[in-house]
Amino acid sequence: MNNKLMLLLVLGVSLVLFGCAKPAGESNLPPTGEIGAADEVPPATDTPETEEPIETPEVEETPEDEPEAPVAEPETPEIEEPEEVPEETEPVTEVDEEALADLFQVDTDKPLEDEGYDVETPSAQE
Amino acid sequence: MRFMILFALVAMSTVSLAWTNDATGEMLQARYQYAACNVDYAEEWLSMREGCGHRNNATVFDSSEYVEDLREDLDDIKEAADEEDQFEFGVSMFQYGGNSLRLLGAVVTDAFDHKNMHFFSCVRDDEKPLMDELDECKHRAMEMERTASKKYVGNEIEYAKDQIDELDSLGADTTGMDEVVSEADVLVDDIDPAFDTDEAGQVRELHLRHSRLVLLFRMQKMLATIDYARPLIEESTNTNKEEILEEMDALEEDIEETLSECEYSAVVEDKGEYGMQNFECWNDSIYLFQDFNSIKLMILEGIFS
Repeated sequence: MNNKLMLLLVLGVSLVLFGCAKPAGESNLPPTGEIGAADEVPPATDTPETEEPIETPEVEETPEDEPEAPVAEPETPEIEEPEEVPEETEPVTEVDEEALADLFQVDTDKPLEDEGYDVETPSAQE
Repeated sequence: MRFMILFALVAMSTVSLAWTNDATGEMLQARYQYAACNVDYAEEWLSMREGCGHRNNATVFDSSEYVEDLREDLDDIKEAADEEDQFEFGVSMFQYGGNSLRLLGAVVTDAFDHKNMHFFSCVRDDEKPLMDELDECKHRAMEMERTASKKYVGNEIEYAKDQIDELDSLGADTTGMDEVVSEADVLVDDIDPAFDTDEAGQVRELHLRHSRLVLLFRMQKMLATIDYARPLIEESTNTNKEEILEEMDALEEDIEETLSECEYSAVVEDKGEYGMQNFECWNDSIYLFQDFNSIKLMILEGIFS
């Protein structure tokens, strides 16, 4: 949340600063959408001074909505990660040891051998 | 008392969980058929030989007792095959092999007892059709075994992969087990070429290689399990912790030694030597298997005591 506020603050301050520094009639804003359309209005130097402050708040509202999503997302995983670490280092429980004991089981019987294949049969070679 | 109950429970669980290969019955039947071919042939050959003796004035020894013994052995083999009793099958086969050799010795001895050239000539001529029958009979038996062998080894590979998956899912290093299974895949590929030769010697080479691979897989499984379990035991509060770790270290050393002595080779240069090495490796390994399985009891005892 701090990052979001900071970003908004920086944007707001920069808008105010640049808005004041430039002469009236020159746009400080990026040439996009509604903002670009608003740029066309200031050249009328004859227009009353009160009209200008009405248009600037409109410009400030647009950047406020856009950066919300990317700023909020990275904050959540940072909180969850440290909670998982202590679970891994816990000692083996008795239930785990029983499961571990079950792994110590190997067949002891021999597989089928080759009995019968080399038995000699009588023949005239006697 | 508590320890005895625990021991009984562990023993019962071990028995109930013992894996059996579904193709064992088929394998035993195929081997029974092969033995039956030999006994049928021997009986007919001895009868033919007696006929040659009568026709050529040569005395021939009474072989009825030998044939009777072989028939009894064959009945025992058949019974064991029907019951899929591998142990009894092996015992009966051993007895049958011994009686076959006894008969062969008697025939060779009798050949020097008042025989003439006409007699030998008669035997040589008359045994040819019998030998053709024997070859055909053996061929049929080997075809049975060809089919059964593929199922038998295929089942073993599937079982081995299940064991690998179990350890792998826990994070154990199963590289050694995987390597043995890769060799078993090669063995499966070699089944058809070996049976195509129709030579018992070629098939026997498959048997020898198979026996060694089963042994090595179990060795690698023990190593993977020990390697995985050691840090967990070290961190545990098991009261037998020190004893278990000592046993695992000693066992690991013995397994490594046996592995180096029983290295696998897909090429069988000398069947007698390979078979003898298998015999010795299995004899040594049986104790290692028992020691490995005893660790289960040590862990459980350390939890509950």
